[in-house]
Amino acid sequence: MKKFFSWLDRTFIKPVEDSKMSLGTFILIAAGYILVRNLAEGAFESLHTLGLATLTLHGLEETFLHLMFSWFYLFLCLIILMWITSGHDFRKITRVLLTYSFFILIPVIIDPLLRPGGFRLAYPTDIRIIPQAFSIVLRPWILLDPNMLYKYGPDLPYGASPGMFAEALVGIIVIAVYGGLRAKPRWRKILAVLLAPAVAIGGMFFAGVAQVAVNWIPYTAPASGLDAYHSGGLINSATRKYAMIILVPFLLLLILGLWLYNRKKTKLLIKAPNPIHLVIGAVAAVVGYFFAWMHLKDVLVNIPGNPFDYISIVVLAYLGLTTVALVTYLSKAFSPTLKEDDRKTFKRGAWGMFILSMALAWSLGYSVIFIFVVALVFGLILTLPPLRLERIPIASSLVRTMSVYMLVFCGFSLFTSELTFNVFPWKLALVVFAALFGIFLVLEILDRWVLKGRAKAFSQSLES
Amino acid sequence: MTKGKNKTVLIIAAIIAALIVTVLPPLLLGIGLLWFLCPVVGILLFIGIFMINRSLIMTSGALFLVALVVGLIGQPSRLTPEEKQKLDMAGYFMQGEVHHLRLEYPEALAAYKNSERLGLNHPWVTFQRSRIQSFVNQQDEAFDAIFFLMQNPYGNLPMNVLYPDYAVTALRAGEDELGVRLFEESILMNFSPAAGYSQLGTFYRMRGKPKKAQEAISAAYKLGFEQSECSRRLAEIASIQGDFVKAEELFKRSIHENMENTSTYNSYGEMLARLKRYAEAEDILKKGKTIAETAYLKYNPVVHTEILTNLAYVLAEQGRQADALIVFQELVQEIPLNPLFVLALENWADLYLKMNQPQKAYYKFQDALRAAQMTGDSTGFYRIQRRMQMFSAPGSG
Repeated sequence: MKKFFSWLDRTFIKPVEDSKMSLGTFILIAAGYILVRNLAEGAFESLHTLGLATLTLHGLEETFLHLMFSWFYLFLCLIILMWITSGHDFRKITRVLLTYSFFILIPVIIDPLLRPGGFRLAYPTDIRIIPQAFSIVLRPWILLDPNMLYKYGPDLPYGASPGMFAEALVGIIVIAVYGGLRAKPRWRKILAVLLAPAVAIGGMFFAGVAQVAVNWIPYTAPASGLDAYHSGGLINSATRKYAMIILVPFLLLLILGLWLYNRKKTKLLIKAPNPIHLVIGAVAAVVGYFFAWMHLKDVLVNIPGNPFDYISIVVLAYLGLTTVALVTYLSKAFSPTLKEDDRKTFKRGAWGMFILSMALAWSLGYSVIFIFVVALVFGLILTLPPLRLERIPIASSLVRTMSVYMLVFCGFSLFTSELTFNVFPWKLALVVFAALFGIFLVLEILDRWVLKGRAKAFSQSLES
Repeated sequence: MTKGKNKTVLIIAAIIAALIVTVLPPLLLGIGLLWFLCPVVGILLFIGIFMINRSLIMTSGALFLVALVVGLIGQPSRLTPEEKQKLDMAGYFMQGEVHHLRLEYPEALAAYKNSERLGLNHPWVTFQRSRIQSFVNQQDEAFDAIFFLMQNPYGNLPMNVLYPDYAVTALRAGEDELGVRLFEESILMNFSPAAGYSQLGTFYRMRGKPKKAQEAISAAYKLGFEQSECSRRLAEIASIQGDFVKAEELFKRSIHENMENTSTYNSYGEMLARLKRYAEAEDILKKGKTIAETAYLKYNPVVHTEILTNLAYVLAEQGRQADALIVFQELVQEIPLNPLFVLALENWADLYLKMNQPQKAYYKFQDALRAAQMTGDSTGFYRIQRRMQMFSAPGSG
């Protein structure tokens, strides 16, 4: 047995742990598995509309937004819990789990073999299947009796499938074996193995609790009896609402994960954007929402009313933060004054921030994503070669203003969708633009002439 | 640039920026409160510039935006009538979209109409209005709206979106020939052909042409369109035609294709009850009830109500009136805004009559009457009123 585990370690675990590949590559590998799982679910399991042909937008939202981030959120929760139980290097745990996360493909292989058309799978972060996870831990032999899945009852709610049971079991085995191999003192080894089911169940719980908690928020429910996800509101797609409620806690946990993965680089990325510039971005996106609300409050009844109408304010703030961070990273990635290594880190940071910003904008809606892209274009012409408009004072402040200004429209567009630019009051638009431009211009002048002059004087005084 | 010139530029910039922040908003927006808020932000900005403190300058930027929101909360901004009209137009459009998704059709229709009245000339609004008008049985208006869209191909919605809806609306407006032709064309042009066949199936079934309905639904099934639902509908047609063996086979296939299709359990149970196979019907309906209650996201109050009503009927027919009453009591948790609920309450009253409890039956009829009034079910209302006339004053026995 010892020989087997040693071989397992030598052949499969150590090479992955010591790999020189970047975190982004590991994430891409896992994203590949998730994509295959999503598409295979659409093809071989029943009822999931993950195909891209019939309901294109819905399919895209499910495949690339809701389910993609659900899985990553679940993986992140599992990695953090494994780190807590085993005390092993966070970086190595991340590499191993992301590389071997292909066990998520088990259901789409097993289910169609047992039953043509497959089963209706629960979402990966659906905490209502936790009792089933317990049941599999206590009675693994039920895997041999897939017929019991046809017997509905309070003990077996929707969403289960033999493949999912097997997936849970393999997942727990992977966690237990890895924890057992890597935890250092003997007592911790035992703890890591014994707590493997708790890690799996805990991961699902933490990743899924926010989704369920939203339905506890009291609100004026529609007469149709539809829940918060399916009763429209400013966010009119249930899929995007799911993505939203996943992204909000996921991004916070992601910062923690990145910090544990590589403290030095994360510190560099966190420190790069000016915190108050970040606040301006967040405030700009949020005030856009309030501008629209205040102007339309006489017309709107029960809007905002749905819990997601309020959660979208948080997501807008996130979008403001990530947009400003993205523009800053781009600027640093092409800055000739920085070291090559740091530039590389900022380039990677920019890619990550781009994906997160796109996901946030997408979850808010299609008008938001279009306007966000415009904001991003301003950021790009500001920072990217060959133009790099940030070199020219007035052009730089103008483009910087436009980038933040567009965020105001992002918030506004939640209420007015594609009519945003037609109905935004021009006086308000002028006031916001003029003030932001004035402030950015002053900052530019300070940076270029006054602070630069001081630095020059300081270096001259050193020389003399 | 010399040091002196730098200072001059900075002073000018500071004055201009502080003036913009202080004076422009209250002047342009006409919000009195901003005369108090903006100067504070302006002073902060001015201090920030002179202290050459980037953080203070940027903080004043963020505070400026917040001040605008606070100003707007206190008092609306001064808008031109045209601006107000445009904003209201957009607001009503959003209101319509929200009500539409909440399935509150009359409110949605009113909101869409308001946005159009205020000048929103957008094909999507017309399209959405047409859909709602179709739902609320204003078939002619719905047809007119979609006909208008079809006749204006420029700047219009894509044909693959419009065509199938045009066909449905035509059928609902009684333009049978046109509707069928449009569906056939839509199928030929590959505009959601599976959905087209499915709709044709519904139409033929409603017009009493079961054979054609079977053909169309089978075609939709072959194209992989909502297979479990197609099987259920085919089973229902077979059941109506008296081919119970085939119907049962198809019901089982429907369940196999989607174990959670509660409508299938309901229809299957109903058929078994008609065949007086009460024990089997009870088993199927109970399964359906459990699934309906645990369906979570796919919860459908209408089907749940149907299942409860049928289950209560089956139990009562087996002489288990007490059990039937327990099932009926679960109806209370349902939403009383569906015409189906009227029927369920009526059945409940019937059960009391069967149990020789006329007083309770009378009160249940009263509930049914109220529900009929709330849902606007005039036929149900008069029917129940007539039935209630057979009672003497309640309490007299």
